[in-house]
Amino acid sequence: MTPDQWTARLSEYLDGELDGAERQALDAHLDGCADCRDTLAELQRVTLRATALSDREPAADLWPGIAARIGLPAATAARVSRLAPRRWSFTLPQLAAAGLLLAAVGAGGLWLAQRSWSPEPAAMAREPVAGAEGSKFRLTRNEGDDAYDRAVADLERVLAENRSRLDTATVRVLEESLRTIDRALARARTALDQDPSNSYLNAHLAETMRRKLDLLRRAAALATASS
Amino acid sequence: MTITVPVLLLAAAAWQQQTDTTVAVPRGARLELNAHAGAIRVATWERNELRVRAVHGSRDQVTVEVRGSVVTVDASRRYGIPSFVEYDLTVPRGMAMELGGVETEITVEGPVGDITASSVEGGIAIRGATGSVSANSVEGDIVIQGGTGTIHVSGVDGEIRVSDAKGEVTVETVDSDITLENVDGTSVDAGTVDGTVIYRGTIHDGGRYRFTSHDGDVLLEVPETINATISVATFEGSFEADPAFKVQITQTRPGKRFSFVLGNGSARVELESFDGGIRLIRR
Repeated sequence: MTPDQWTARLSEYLDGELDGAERQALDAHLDGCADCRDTLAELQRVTLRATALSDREPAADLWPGIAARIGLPAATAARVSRLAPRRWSFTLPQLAAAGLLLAAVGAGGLWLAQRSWSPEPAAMAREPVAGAEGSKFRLTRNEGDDAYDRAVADLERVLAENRSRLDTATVRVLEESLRTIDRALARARTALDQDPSNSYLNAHLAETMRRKLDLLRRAAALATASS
Repeated sequence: MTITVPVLLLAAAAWQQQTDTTVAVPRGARLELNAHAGAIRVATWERNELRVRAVHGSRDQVTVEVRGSVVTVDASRRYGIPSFVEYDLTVPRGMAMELGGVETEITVEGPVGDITASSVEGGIAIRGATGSVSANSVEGDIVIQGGTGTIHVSGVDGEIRVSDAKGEVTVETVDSDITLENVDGTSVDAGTVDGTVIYRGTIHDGGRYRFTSHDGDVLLEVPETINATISVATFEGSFEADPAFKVQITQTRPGKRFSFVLGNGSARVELESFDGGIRLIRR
């Protein structure tokens, strides 16, 4: 299989749809192909950012009824509903389209991002810095990162507003677990600064960010449901 | 002191009341019970009846309502919510149920059907389930023994142990260990942030398995005869395989990501730990 053909299989690789032999062959190809490693890392970033984007409302949303039953204020229910976890699966063309879209809305663009991942507070795209060396990049935020940060901030606000409704022991456990995740995020970002094209680190960071969002959503739902 | 304790016990007993009622339930009915604090203990029998025994405050009332195929057990009081109720339920074999609580210990023993159990501050133990299982707790251990179909366990700060389960198993937590024992699944996914993940079970041909930790070890204990493509990823951790597996690692990349094939490689196994040890152990 030629390198171009492998590029077309990266999405399947990401989704775990290659069989053992194909995966091993692609692993071997990735060892020697920096372009494919970079593309794979970008696909992972696109997937992560897509998970943080807002959804279009479904035709039949069960959440309002559930929220009403547990006594959530309408505004809170709407916020929590927007942050429900989703499972994403994309084909390579879809990922490419999403990448181009994000590139259009995000300064710098995903496909221009070359080497490193953001340190704080979330992933950022890079733009070359005028007058700087070619390998240096200025950190520039993009739409997907903003959406993730907004989601986290929104849930943190809901949790802060309602934390008094939770038992102090529960609050302590939740806060300690959030600190555990934040420490993991910080370490993953530091590692990515050292090895920006490492596909494992990119995926690990994405998964850890998703865990934080899930835990915050769960905590916020508990806090708002308690009365 | 010797006088005070019995007096307090008598006073507590005076404020407690017991409900014991048995109702017929339709075949295939589902049980719903949401408690605030206390305990929910469930056992099974061969009758199409539900027996509810509950110890509660004298001002609380426990009711059982059968509406269509849903049986609801509830505790109420005129003002506020009952502070503490201990339920002992005996349900028809195979009955599906949805149990929930805040400060509630949930224990289910016997061949119940599909079950969903959730608690905020309380452990969950489900032993002998024959259907799908969904269990989640923020602050409590979760023990699942049995279950067929979809097994989903979500914790935050309590240990999680799943054994003798068959089907698709998903386990996720943050600050605790995960142990999967004698799990027979074609799809198993277990991940924690700060804890150890242990899998002792079967790797089916064509199955998919993923075990991850950020700050803990990942141990895979399986027969050396498995057919699997195993991907290992770590940043600052290590990898070690029992010599019986005859692992020959010929490819590595920065960040220590590599894969190797055992047998015909048909199953896919992913082992990841950011800075823990990853071990492949012969079973």
